[in-house]
Amino acid sequence: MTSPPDVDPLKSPPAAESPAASIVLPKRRHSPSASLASLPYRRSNQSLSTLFASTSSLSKSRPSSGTATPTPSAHANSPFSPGPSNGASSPLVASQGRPDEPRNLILRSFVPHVGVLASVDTEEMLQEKGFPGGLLQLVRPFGELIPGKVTIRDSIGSNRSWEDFGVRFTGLKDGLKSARRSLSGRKSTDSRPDSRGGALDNVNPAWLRTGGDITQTEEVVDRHLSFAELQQDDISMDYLNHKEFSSGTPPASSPFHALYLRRLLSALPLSPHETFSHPVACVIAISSRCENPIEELRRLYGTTNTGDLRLPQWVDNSYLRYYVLVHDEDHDDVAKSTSLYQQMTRHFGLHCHMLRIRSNECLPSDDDSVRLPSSEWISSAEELAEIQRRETSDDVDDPTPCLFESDATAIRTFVRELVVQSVIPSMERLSAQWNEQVASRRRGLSGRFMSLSKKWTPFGSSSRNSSGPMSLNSGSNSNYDSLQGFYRPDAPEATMRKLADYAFMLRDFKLAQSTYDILRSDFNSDKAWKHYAGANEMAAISTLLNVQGLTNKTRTESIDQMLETATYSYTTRCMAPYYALRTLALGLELLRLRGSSAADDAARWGSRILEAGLVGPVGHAIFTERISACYASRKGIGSGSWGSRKRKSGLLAMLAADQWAKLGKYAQAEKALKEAKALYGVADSEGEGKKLPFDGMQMLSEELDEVLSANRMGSQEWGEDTIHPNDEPPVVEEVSEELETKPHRQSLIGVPAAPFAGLEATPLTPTRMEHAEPAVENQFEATETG
Amino acid sequence: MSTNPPSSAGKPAQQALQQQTRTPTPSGLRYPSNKKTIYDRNINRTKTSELSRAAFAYLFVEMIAYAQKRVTGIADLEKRLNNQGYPLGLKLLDLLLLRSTVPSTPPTTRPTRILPLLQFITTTLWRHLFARPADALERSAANPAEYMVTDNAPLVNEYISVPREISSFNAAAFVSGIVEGVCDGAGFRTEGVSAHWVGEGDAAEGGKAEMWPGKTIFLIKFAPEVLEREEVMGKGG
Amino acid sequence: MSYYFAIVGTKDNPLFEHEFGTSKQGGDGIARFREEARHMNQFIVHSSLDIVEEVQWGSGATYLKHIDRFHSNYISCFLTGTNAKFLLLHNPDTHHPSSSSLPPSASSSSPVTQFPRHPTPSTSSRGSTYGTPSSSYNPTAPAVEESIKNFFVDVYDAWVKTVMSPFYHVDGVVRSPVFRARVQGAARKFL
Repeated sequence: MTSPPDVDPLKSPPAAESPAASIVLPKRRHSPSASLASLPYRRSNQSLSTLFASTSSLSKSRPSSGTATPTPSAHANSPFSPGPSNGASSPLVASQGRPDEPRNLILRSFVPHVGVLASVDTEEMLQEKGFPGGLLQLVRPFGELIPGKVTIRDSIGSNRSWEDFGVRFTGLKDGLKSARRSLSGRKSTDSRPDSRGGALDNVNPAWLRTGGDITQTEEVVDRHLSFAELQQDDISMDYLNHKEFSSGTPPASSPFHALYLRRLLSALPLSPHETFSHPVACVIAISSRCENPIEELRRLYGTTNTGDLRLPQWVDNSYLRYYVLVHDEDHDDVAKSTSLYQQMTRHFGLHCHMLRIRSNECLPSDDDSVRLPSSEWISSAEELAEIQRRETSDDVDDPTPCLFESDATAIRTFVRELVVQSVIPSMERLSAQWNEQVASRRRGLSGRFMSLSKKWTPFGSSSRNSSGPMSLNSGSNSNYDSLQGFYRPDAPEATMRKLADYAFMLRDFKLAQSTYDILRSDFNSDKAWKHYAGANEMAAISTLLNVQGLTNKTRTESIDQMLETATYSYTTRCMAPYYALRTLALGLELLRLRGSSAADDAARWGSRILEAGLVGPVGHAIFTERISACYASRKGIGSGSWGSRKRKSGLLAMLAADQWAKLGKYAQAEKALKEAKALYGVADSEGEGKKLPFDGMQMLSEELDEVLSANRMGSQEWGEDTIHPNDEPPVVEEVSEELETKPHRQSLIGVPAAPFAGLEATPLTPTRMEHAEPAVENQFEATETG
Repeated sequence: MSTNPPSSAGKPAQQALQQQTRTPTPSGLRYPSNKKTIYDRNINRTKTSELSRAAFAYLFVEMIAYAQKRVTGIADLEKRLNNQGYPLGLKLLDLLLLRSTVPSTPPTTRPTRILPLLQFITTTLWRHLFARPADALERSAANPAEYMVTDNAPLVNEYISVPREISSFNAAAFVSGIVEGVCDGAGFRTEGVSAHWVGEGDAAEGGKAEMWPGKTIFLIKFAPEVLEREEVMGKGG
Repeated sequence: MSYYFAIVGTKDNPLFEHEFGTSKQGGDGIARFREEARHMNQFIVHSSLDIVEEVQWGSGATYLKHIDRFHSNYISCFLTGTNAKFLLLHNPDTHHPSSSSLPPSASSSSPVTQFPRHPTPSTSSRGSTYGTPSSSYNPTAPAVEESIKNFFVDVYDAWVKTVMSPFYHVDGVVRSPVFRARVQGAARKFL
């Protein structure tokens, strides 16, 4: 890695008259500006960088710090450290960064959903306090991790404690609008520029709080990547210095993959075929300002039961209502509120809570102020909107509202009480009840008999075809409403599904698995394809989460088949690519964790994601990288490491590098290329002068080297030059100076050799041609002597 | 000895020669006068043809004489002979595999375990080279990595009389080279195949030594990773 | 149908490479790989060596049949006695240049072009066929396996003759135009 001796190091790189420079130049001109032109923001203000913290802290070659929110030490080092600490320690610190992180991610993504409904006076009070989103905004981050251990009793009566249990606070109708929007609004999301330009600001916040949109997930990750790309320049010195250090570490999960997965699993849309996002409980809140508290509570209850907020008929409406009195510590009398609270408990029973918080706005400068923790599980749309909002705002301060330490404590107590004393016990009770009343009947011999008789009644098929809303209870043999595509919540199948989902959320995977298993055959015979796909998906996932010593036979026979069926049904029969992607991505992760031979399967399902075209370009690169990691995790046996997948892993890593480079994400490309070279045994450190065995392979590798080094050189040049007017949309012109003044441009001078590395390694004529020898082996009749 | 002139000995010189004669014709390809390349001949044509023993003996003596030039000792001489045999083994492996099956079916007898490989050596290879199988195949009791192939009267030694001062020299080192080539080619790396006399000094076998004065043992020592693989594959199926 | 045939030595080094198209059903015997697919083929064939190494010790057969797949590229393998690997990559897609046949990763544009299609039913139905666009092609069909076997046997015959040359070294690159013609002839005859 030395520069050619005839090139003056002080000369600017483009002046080098190397013949290869002409090849490099167009790319260099094109790539940085192209990648930067797609960036809608130029401001790296502090408030913005906190949004990207989940990925940017990792991109600084700090593989061990898997925390999603930067730790205080990271703040101190980072030039982008947000001003005040954001208060609560990240709820993820404890669980993330462990080797089985994706498993935790999956566990924490399927959690009970709790609706939040507050009276007008409550929302007003909280808006005064500085929370425009009201009670939901206030409590939402606190639900993601319940402080302390949460003990859950499973179906066979044994207790198990979890430290990372959480619930998801949502608006009551959050997941619902998405379902409609993703169908009708598909056009607008396809043409991406539209959805980017402020369209998201105007939509209903509930719409934003819905996930399940692959395109938006792609976009969020893309934003993070672009941000990391900008930052990469700053850390390039650091990065190069740490080369040796970081090349030794095993391929950890890329922060972008983790983000992708998390956004994919955030804000699961409300759907008839699964009940994860159906509310398990609803918090109904009034404040101490309320004139007529009991009446108001009744009215709010009414809206959830019959009024505006009544969920569609396929959602079981008998979820738990939890009544909360929000007491204003600053203005109202505690004694009065306490007596009101006692009145509430008399009327509504035990599921009540008095939440005492102050109504005064808390400023960051206040002594006991803490920032509202950031929510890990916000939907992609929300995150996008937030990024946009902060990009366009001139305010460099972090706009996250603050609250008083005492408020935070009160909310934590409230959430813990809600979960431990109300939500979990009621879920436990219901699953035990359903298990006894519905599921156990189906498990025995008689249960099988029942489903058989159901199938073979003479009018079965005809009535099933004609079944509409009216015929639901009129003696139809199938409970499935094939016209509208759902089971009524009181149908045994719906109850079973709920049971299975509850068991899954309570992490009783054995019960969940057996229940999903029964449902698979039921849904199949009812031709309820989406339900069928869902049951297969969750059966596979719960099996993978449950059984510890999974034999190869079970794996290949049952898991493969379930994943296959789920994917097929989701994509072909239901046109639900999101769910298909979820199935495959989760299957991939869980299989990968089983290591060795299962890693092959994991890789196979990963390729399936790519082949089925379920993901966009960003996802494509991310999953390519992931498959490479799957193969890499398969270690061979013995000294010969028979059965390892190094070459395959290398291929995928190389492809990932190629894709990243084409997306203009050079930092990622560089990482992937380094990975690939290490796998092929031609890494710079060890394989000096070694070449890849095939010419074409070597060629691609060199081309990538060239593109990357050209980019490194180009970004330096680009920072010093002014922006080419044609390349840049006018919006970003005003901030171009800011880039120029960035300190990192100088730092690149510290690596002068890099731009030429690629050129040097590339012979312009293939060496083979020069040394081509005439064939020698034809004339000799070696085999014949006699 | 029916095929394959043991020709690798003079290779560098010949190759250089070849390059020289070639230079005037840049097309690089010269067909024999009958327009038939090696590819036009049936590979099985010489399957049953035999080579004159006298011719072989003469050639082999010349090979030893060639190898003997500038050697530093017996070990070195044996090493050179071994090296002459090695490429032969590589080539014979493929040729014999191809010939072992009916034409136009893919061979299915590729040796993948140690025992089939040794059987291939002692029967197919030996029969091809010497028109009879080897006389014995044993596994060393002391070292599981070592196998011994016994030939009571190696053809190569038939017309060789070893001078007393280098009495331990065994010209069958050439054959051990062939065996090593077969093993290596098949993917069974060895730590060396060597040829040893059995005879004087071996009290127990003294009587037999009388009977077979040229009795030679080929000692095959497989590399540890071969044994490890054997174990892994044996477990796996 | 396009084919890429490579003989790989014991150190993963290519000894011989050849591309050709099908000659059956009126094929003209010309490979229709896209330009980017050229090096991809090498990568794919190289990566399938992982699988070769795994199955190599399983049976004594030289013809290991279809062993690997990467997107719509199928790999068949034949092992010689000295463990030179004959690897034949067959890609059925290139008959229809309109469909994005190649591994999307191989080309710059395809990930982008492919993505917007996923909501449309046409691609969803594609997903039904085990994710392979080339559902009609079955690399393990007896007829396919048979013709590839015959191809390999023919090449093997020529290969042994090549290897028999006293000037051939193990892992040496084969440059003989006659050998290439032989491979071509076998391809025309069987594939």
